[in-house]
Amino acid sequence: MITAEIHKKLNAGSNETGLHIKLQADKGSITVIHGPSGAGKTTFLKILAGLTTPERGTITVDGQVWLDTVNCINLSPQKRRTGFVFQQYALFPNMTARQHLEYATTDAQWIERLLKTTNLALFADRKPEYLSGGQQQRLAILRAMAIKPDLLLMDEPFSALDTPTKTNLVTDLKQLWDELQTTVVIVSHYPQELTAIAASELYIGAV
Amino acid sequence: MLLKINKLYISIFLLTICFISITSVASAQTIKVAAAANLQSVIGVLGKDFKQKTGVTVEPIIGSSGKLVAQISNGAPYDVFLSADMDFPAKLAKNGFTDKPPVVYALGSLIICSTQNIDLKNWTKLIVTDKVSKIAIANAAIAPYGRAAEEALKKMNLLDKVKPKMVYGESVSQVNTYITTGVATLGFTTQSLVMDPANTTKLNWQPIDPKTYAPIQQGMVLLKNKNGNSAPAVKFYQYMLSSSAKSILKKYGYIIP
Amino acid sequence: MDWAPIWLSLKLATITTLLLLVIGLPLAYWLSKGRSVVRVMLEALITMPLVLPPSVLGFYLLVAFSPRHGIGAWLAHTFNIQFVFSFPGLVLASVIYSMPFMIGPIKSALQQLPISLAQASYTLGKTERETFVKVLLPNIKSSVLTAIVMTFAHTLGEFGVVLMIGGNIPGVTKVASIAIYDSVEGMDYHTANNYSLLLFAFTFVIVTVVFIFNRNKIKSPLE
Repeated sequence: MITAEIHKKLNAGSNETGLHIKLQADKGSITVIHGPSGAGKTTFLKILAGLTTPERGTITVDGQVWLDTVNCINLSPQKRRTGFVFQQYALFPNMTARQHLEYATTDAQWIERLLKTTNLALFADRKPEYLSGGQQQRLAILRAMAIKPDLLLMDEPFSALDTPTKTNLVTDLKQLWDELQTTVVIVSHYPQELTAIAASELYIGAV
Repeated sequence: MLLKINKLYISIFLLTICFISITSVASAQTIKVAAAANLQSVIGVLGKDFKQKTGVTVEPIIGSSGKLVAQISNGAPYDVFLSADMDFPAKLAKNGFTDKPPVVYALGSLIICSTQNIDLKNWTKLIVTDKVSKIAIANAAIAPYGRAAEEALKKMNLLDKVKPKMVYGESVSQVNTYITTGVATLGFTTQSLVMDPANTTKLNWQPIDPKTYAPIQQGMVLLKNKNGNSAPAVKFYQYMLSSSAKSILKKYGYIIP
Repeated sequence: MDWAPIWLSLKLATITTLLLLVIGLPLAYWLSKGRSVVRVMLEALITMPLVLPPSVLGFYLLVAFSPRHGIGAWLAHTFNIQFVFSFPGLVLASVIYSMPFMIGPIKSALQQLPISLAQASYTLGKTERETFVKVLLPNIKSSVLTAIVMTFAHTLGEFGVVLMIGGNIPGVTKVASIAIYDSVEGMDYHTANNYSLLLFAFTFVIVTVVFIFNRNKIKSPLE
């Protein structure tokens, strides 16, 4: 169960706007965040992960306080261990697909299962520069899942995939999420595709 | 805009011409004197005296005798060369860079010197002890004072014993730096260092027994100019052998033959 | 031919480069993390040897480590060591003098890496140190190699500082660049030429090999 409320100043060129977001999600649920570009959706995910800090805010996950600006609590991203799927993938050019997962976890069986889920097993020994855009995106998702996170944050994670691949992947992921009881927050420009699985929607728009 | 740029270029061009002509006019009344490092302190005084008498400015170029000879042999445009020995200028004469062989203008005086409060009267006994960690000496291959110092040490049977402690300056000037900054416990240098009123560091010194080294006959030559020797250069050559120059040199610790 | 100056130069360059690698990597990493006033000033200080005449550095080291006062006096009194006129003194001077050549390329390369790489590693629970060693460093390999080679070559050619504080002691501080200068001054052009050719050839070969190696790294698909 996540509760989050944050206030952050955003600098979009010469305009300074204020971001104020409230989120509440049950454990194991899927929330989809949508809204116009530049509104602050990625920033919100980064705040949840601990990669950036808002001026004011609180975040509580499963009873543990991750952020409380009033009481000066701010857990590092390492302690929060959120699974994060970056918009630009952020893959490591020096590691093969398999090495990415081995870097994240030592659970060999879990690695094999993840690779099978996304049909990446055949390409496991390739470095990112030799993977297609869609394969890279899937690897980014796998890497986040490799740590069996309690909270998974995904920033437009299916943008490079064609519809059939996307549908299959989402089905497989849903199964894993149900097993692990992962709480998922997805930013997407096409929320309608995810309504089938999403429990709730959050709109972040320009203030 | 184009006119403005043109004006800028023209002014720069004119300024450059002015600058070049000013400096070339100045050099007609200037002579370049290559002076061995031991003359560092006295050459300024000699130059001032010479200018007072003749109106000609002396531009000194200071370096080790060896370095200056190398430069002159390769075309350096000096007018007069004041060496710290006779061999270096003799080499120049042999190779046709001068009209006449070198003449002695002074005899150099070698001293041992330190900024520390140690007793230098018995330097021959002190120098082999641990109290002396580093000894500064000019590179004997290019600096006659270094050669003289090594000669003196050899004569006293100390050279091999103290060699591990020796550090070599490329000229007597660098040796002076090592002495005055205290990085060398003591050093062998020219007496004119301690006679120089401009030197503010307190120095402790002793002359080295002149019997232990061949006299440092400092030789001078007038260098051949492709345009023939300029009158001011000849005047300076003669001035160096005059009584006024000799009295200045004596004040700075040189011996007049 | 007396090979001692050549060995001395190679020894000095190797030790300096290794020391700078150990000091430079963490320092470059710290400098790459932001633009605070402290960082900017430190970076300017590190870059000074690039723009100052070597004789300035040599002069200040001479004065700073003079056994007559300050640090020099303390060192001489307590440990009976003197930095001026010693090989360790040359190493110290070379480390200061060549530092910008090690830090510059590495810091730039780190700054050019997307910040999301380190962030991704942190979300996986990895510490800054593990991230630096396993994620950042492997992705700036060619810059590190360039930094190493530039530092090595630069130290090989070092002259002004060594002239000031070396004391030209054969076998101890008489490095190849000083030996060349010495032989030219003494008009022994034969020796000067030998040393110069050797230094030139050596430096040219390592620099060329590194550049070829870097070129191949980019083209090879089989890594």
